[in-house]
Parts: sequence; C-alpha cells; structure tokens
Amino acid sequence: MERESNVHFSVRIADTSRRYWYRYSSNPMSVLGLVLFLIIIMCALFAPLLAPYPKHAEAFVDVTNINQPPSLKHLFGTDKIGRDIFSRVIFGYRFSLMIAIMVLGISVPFGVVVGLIAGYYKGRWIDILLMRITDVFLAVPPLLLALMITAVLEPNIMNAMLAITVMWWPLHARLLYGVTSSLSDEYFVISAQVSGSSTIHILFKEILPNCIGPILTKVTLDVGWVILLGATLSFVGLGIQPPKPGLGSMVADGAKFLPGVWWAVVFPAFAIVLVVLSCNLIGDGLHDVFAVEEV
Amino acid sequence: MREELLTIRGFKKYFRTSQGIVRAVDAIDFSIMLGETFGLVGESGSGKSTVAYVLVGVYGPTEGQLLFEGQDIGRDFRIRSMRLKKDIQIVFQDPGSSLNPRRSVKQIVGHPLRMHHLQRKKNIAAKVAELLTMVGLPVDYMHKYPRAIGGGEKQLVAIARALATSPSLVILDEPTSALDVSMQAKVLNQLIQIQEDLNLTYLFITHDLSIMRNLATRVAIMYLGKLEEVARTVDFFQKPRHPYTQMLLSSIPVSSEEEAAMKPKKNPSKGEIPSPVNVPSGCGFHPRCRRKIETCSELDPEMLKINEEHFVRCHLYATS
Amino acid sequence: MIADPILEIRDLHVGYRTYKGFLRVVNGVNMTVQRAEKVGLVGEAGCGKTTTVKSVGQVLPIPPGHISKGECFFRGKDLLDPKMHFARRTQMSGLSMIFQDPTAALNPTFTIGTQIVDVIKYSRTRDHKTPNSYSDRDKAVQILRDVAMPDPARIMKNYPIQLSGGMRQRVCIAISLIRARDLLIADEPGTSLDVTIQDQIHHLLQKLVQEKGMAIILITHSLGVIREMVDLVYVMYAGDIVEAAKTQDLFARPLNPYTQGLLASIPKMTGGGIPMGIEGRISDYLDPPGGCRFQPRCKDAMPICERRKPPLVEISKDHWVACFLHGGHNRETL
Repeated sequence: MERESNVHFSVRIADTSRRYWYRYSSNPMSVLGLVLFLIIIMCALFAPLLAPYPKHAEAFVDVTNINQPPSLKHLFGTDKIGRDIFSRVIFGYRFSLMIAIMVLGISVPFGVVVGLIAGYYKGRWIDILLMRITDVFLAVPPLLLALMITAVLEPNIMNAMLAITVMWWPLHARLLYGVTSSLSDEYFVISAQVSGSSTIHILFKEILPNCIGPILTKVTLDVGWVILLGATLSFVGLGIQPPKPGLGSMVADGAKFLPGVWWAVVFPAFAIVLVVLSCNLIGDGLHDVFAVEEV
Repeated sequence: MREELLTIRGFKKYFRTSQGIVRAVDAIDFSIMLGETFGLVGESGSGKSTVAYVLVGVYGPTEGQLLFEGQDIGRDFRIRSMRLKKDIQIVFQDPGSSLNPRRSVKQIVGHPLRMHHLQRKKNIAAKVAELLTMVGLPVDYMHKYPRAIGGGEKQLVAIARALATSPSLVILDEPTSALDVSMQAKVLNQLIQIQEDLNLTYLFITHDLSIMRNLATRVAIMYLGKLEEVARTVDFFQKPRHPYTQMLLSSIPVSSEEEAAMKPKKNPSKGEIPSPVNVPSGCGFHPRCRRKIETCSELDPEMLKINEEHFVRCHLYATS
Repeated sequence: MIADPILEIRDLHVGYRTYKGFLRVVNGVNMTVQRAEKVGLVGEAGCGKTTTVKSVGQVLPIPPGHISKGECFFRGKDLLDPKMHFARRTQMSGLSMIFQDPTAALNPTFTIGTQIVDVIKYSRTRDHKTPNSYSDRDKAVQILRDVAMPDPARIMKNYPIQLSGGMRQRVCIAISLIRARDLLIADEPGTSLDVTIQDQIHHLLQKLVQEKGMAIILITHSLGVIREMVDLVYVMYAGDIVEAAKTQDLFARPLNPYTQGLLASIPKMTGGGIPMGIEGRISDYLDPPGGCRFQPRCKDAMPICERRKPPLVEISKDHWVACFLHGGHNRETL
C-alpha cells in the first residue's frame, strides 16, 4: 500500500508539472521572465564567485579609478570612489533578494492567516475586526509608512525590512479574504463542516490548498515590488546603508554626476528594471497557469 | 406499522435578507419511515433544499420540531453531537464542487473515518477500498484526484464518503441532476443496491419526476415553502390532485407515447414562481392556478386528507 | 435533397490541443438543416455537440480548439473557409446562438434595455431611414413582446440580476432574434431552468419558428425534449453522428445500438423501475478506437466494427444509421 501511494504520487507530480509547464510555456514572454530571474538568482547566490571585484562591495576606495567609463576591465564602469559597478550590482541583487525573501517570508504567512480567518467567518465580529485593522494599514500610503518607520527608528536594512513587512501583510490578507469567502460556499467546505471537521482542518486542509494559485501569482509579483520599494528606501538613504551596495543608493550616488557619468546611474537603474520586469513576466505566466479552465 | 425515523412538525425556516424576510420553509409536517425512500419534489424557491440543509445541520430551524429517532435535532452543526453527525449524511447536487479538487479520493472518503475515530490509521486504506467497492468504483480510484474522474463517478465518491460513518438516514439532494442519462442510471442503481444491503432510509430530493416514480415509496411536493401534496408514489402519479402537481406533471418532456398519454393535459405551465420575499396572499400558487376560486386569494388552505396516505392542501377539495 | 438547405455541415473534424496531446473530438460530422426546419442534436455530455455548433457559430476558442477539416455552408457560403475571414460578419448575419446559462450571457452591469439596443445599433436591421435612439428602443420593446415578456417597458430598465432565470433566457432569445432570421442555434436553452419554465421556453421557441420561418438547431441531452420539440433528430456519440431520423421514426424504430441503449436508460413516468444504463464509459478522445467509437461498449459488436468507421447510410426515407449491423460494408468511410 505504501509503495503504491508513492508511485501514484510521483506519477501525479509528473503529470501536474507537464500540465503547468505546457500552459506556462505557451507564452514566450513568461519563459523569458523565468530565464532572466534565474540569472538574477544565480547572481545573488554566487555573488562572491561571479563578481570580478568582490571586495568592491564592501569598504573600498581607489582614488585613481574614480568615475571611469565602462571598459573591458570594468564592464559597468566605476563609481565616485572607484568601485566596480558591475560587482556592486551583482551584490546588490543579493541584498535585494534577501530583503524580498525575509519580507515576504513573514508578511505572507501572517497575511494569509488573517485573511483565511476573516474570510471564513465573514460577517461576524472577527471578520470586521481583522478587516478594519487591515484597512487602516492599507489606508496609509505605503512609501509614507515605510519612511515614517525607518525615520523613527534607526535607518538600516533591518528596519527597512520591518517597515515593508508591516505594510505588506494587509495585501495578502485582502487577497485571501476574497478567495476564502467565495470558497466557503463550496459544497466540499459545507460537507466538511456538517460532518464535524475542526475549523483548523477546514482552514488549512480544505480551503488553503485551493488558494495556492492566487497566492503564488501574487508572491512572484510581490518580489518585484518589494525590491523596488527597498530600492526606493535606499535611494533616500533609509535602507541599505553605505558602504553596502543597494541598487537604489547606487542610483542616488550616481545621480549627482549626471549626465556626464551616466553609467553610475543607468546600470543600477537598469538592474532594478530587469528584476521587476522578470517578476512581472513570471507573475503573468503563473496567472495563465492557474486561471485557465481545463478542457 | 413501520417505525418513524424522522418526524417533522410545524417546521419553519425564515431568513432575514436586505429585501425582506424570506420564508424558505413555512410550517411543514411530514414523517419518514424506517427503510423507505421518501421523495421531495419542488422547483427553485420551493424550499426543498432548505429542508435538507436544516436536517443535516447547515442551519438551525426558526421554529418547529425535528424528531430523529425520537430526539429533537433542531440545531446547527456547531452545536450538534458528533453522534448525530454520523447518523445523518447528505450527498449534494453538484459533483464538481462537493469534492475538494486538491484532495485525493482516499483523503476525501477517509476523512470522516479519521474524524470520528472509526478506524485506526493503518486500516483506513482498507476501509476506503471497501467503501469504493460498495459504490461500484475500482479500488485504485483511491489515489485519483477529482479532476481525473467524471461527474457520475464523483457522485459515487460523494456517496462513499456519506456511507463512511454508517448513517441511518441519507439525504440525497438532486444527486443525478447534473449527470447524463447513462451515468444517472448507474448511480441510481447503485443507490438502490446500497439501500438494500445496508438497510438505509433515503430522503430523495429532485425535480425529475420520472426518477421519483421509480425510486420513491412516497412523494411530497413543495411550493414556496409549503407542502402541497403528499401521497404514495403510484397515487401521486396516477391521481394527482393539486393543480401545481398537475402543472408539473404536464410540463415534463417525456420520451414515449405511453408516458405522454399519462400526463395530465389540461394544465400547461403558466407564469413564474414569485419571489420568496413577496409571497402572494392566501394560497401561494393562486396567481398561476387555472382552477382557482375566490377563496384562493384570501385564505391559505389547510392540509386535507383524501385517503389513508394521500394529503392535499387545496381549497378545491375542502368539503364545506 | 429538396430545396437548398440553410445549413450544411460536411465532414467536420474538430479537436483540442492539450498538454496530453490532441483530442480528436468531432470526427467527421455531416448535418443538413432545411429552411424553417426544427432539428435536434442529442447526445450525452462530452459527445461533441457543443463543439460542433460552436465551430459553426464561430465561437470556438481557437487555441485550444482547432478545426482540422470540413466545411460548413450557411446559405451557400462556407463559414469555415479561411479566405473568407473578413466577409464572415456579413455571411453570418441571419444566424444566432443562445446558450445554456442565460446569466453568463448577459452583462450584469448594464440594463436590459441598453444591451438590447446595443445589438440593434450594430446589426443590419436598424431602421436606416431615421436611425435614432427612440426607434431603437421601440424596436427593443417590440422584440421583448415577441418573446412574451410581461411588462416589457419596465424590464428594459432592469438589470439582469433583478430578473428570474426564465426571464433572462427570454431576453437572450430576444437578443438573438435581432439577428437571427434564418437560423437559431439553441444549446440546451432550458437546462438550467425549472421544468415548468423550461416548458414555456420551448413553446416560445416553437412559436417563433412558426411565425418567423426560422430554422432551429436544438441541442439537448434529453430525449424527452427532442420528442416534443423537433422534426428531425441527429444522435451524436463521441464525435460521430450515429443516427439521424424523423422524430417519430427514431422513437418507433431506433436502429443504432447506442440510440437503443440511450432510450432504454430513461426511467419512465409510467413505472418500470430504474433501467440498467449502458455499460462502460465514453472512450478517450486522445486515443479513440480506430473504427466505430461505440464498439467497446456495444454488445452486438462485430470484427469489422473495430477496423472501420461505419458510414452514415440511408436505411429508409429520412432515416440514416451509421452501424455495420445495418449495412454500409461496401461504402467508403466518409
């Protein structure tokens, strides 16, 4: 019996993967997004190996090499204190992704649980309480909230992450609220209720597995947005602090020297665009995967 | 005299909505005997599904007595005893949504077994296999997911799930309405077999009268929350008394000459079912009734006894 | 054939591309509809009847759908000819479709009046002498009266959600009447409605066919509806037309084993118990049986049934069967 279940399990996984890949790959842009994102992940994971000048990502000054244009030695040129921009961009990706993972790793589970409970008990006091709190957080403009938090506390990467986390969970709560309240009317949920299943079982074993599609789609899009928000914060000096390479702070540093020293701004900015674009393409592709009706 | 398994007296279920009070079920009385198949017929807005939902505990009744094996069960699922949840089970109308698409057949059918601690963990697979065989499905369907099986087979899985707790009363809410004729035949035959083998009592709800004719021992018809006629199956079809029953019987498309000859011809369908928030005065059916008399718009009729097992609620049969 | 038919489908092959492969659903369908004729297309879920009519009506979702072969002549012009792509709109005026779920067919955010007038504006039946909103609205009220809608002027101001299912279906029929002069394709129009309302809708369709001289293709899985509504029946199984006959002939003398099985599976209101149904399941469209698609389930199957697909052969006047039990051995498979 045990082995039979394992066989069926692997057959099912293979079948599901084929099905999802068929739908995902029908759009070449989605595949492009995936490829780009994989490259970015490689950069983040293997930054010390891929960057030609890993030491430039930390405290390093080379006055002889200030503001050099792009060349074979320095693919993206050097910045105002002589650091290799290419290496710093690669390390910048590492920090950006780290922020995204930590922020989403906390805000998504929290938001999902809030949304599940509120959606399941729709109309009761707990729904009203949870959703009004959610609304309060959503009412404050995100950037303003993030700025407030990091300005009050010490401006550093941890507080930037905290700020973004605090304003991110309500978005997932709202998403799950919608999906859960519509799923609660399905017969399989009613069936579980009347046969006496515990609420924990219904929320996490009956409803939540059916929410994976929208959650996954939103999370991939979120990665891009969180990175953008982090870059915005470091642009105004409230996120990643020097000498660490934040893509936003790199843009800010280089902006003073425009238009002459264009490479100090264009390459980090382009790096931000690339990661947000690839996340959006993946998100679109996933939406197609989960939203399509089966023939 | 057979034992009464379920006795309903003065049962009402009202819902408060933004448009007003919906009288989904408005004071009905009937009983279901042990081992019989009691048929409940009605169209949309009749309240038949509400009856099913209250019996199984989705809602509690607004008023009235619901006696199951002598005990009043009028509570919703949050307060019901686990024992009651085992004894009364339901099979829903839509096979597509009554099975969780993200759970396997084994998980779906095995869940009640685990929840009520009816089997030890290692015996669950064997018991699920037994249930699947009982409903006529191959044992290896255990590992399948709902998307891989057809509508009729999904209903068989839903039936297997209902049988897992060895219930005494099984409520079947339009179990074959979404199925094709050949699948329908298979599911219905399976239900008949299971009823014999396990000595079950069925409350069978449907709008399909040709199924009712061949499955139910007694039939009751509802309109706008009220019971209009109750009779033994043969009488219901051969001598329908209530104008609504006659209208329904004459509207059914039939596929043979003999059936066409049997249909009451004089009452083709007229009008629409009124909104349940705006129930007409007097007898709820009077705006559509071709045989209405003066009292029909003023006074709501009482349930009258035609003979031992035949009851009608209509002014036409009131002896002054 | 008698006069020129309003619709003629020839050897239609339609399938769907999926991750598992190509599903060969419609497998060479031939169908003819005369002017003002009531034709029924009956078959179980998944037999390809909706796919067939969606291909005719040009509403088949093209990926994953794919028309591999076949022609469909409406008033003499082939709707499926790829060269005629831009002329299709003109070709198709006079043909309309209504579907099973009237709620999904109406836009919930616009009033009924707006939706009907919208179609009138862009159809070719507008009053060209004085095209204005008043004449459009008058025409809308008139067609609502044609479909026996009570209080049409008030309905015009309502939103779909305020109407019952039966009334929504009447609105859909009304909208389809604006363009349909020659052919109306009705895909299970009464299935999601109550039986008494379904009865009214069917009678309405019959009345419209008589008054307007319109042909109708009625698709359903209910043989009872077929018997009461149509003149000519096409029985479909797994993408093939297995039998076609005048209604009385089909019920009096069903020849194809599938048709016989189908008729036998219906429980009767006169009693007789629950019938046994047909053994087996519909075959997989991914790898369908080579010859007759019903052969795996047929108790009268012969060796030839596995090898060749039985052609549709005229057994007697207006009664065609596709089954080797009734001849067709020497004919070329279509």
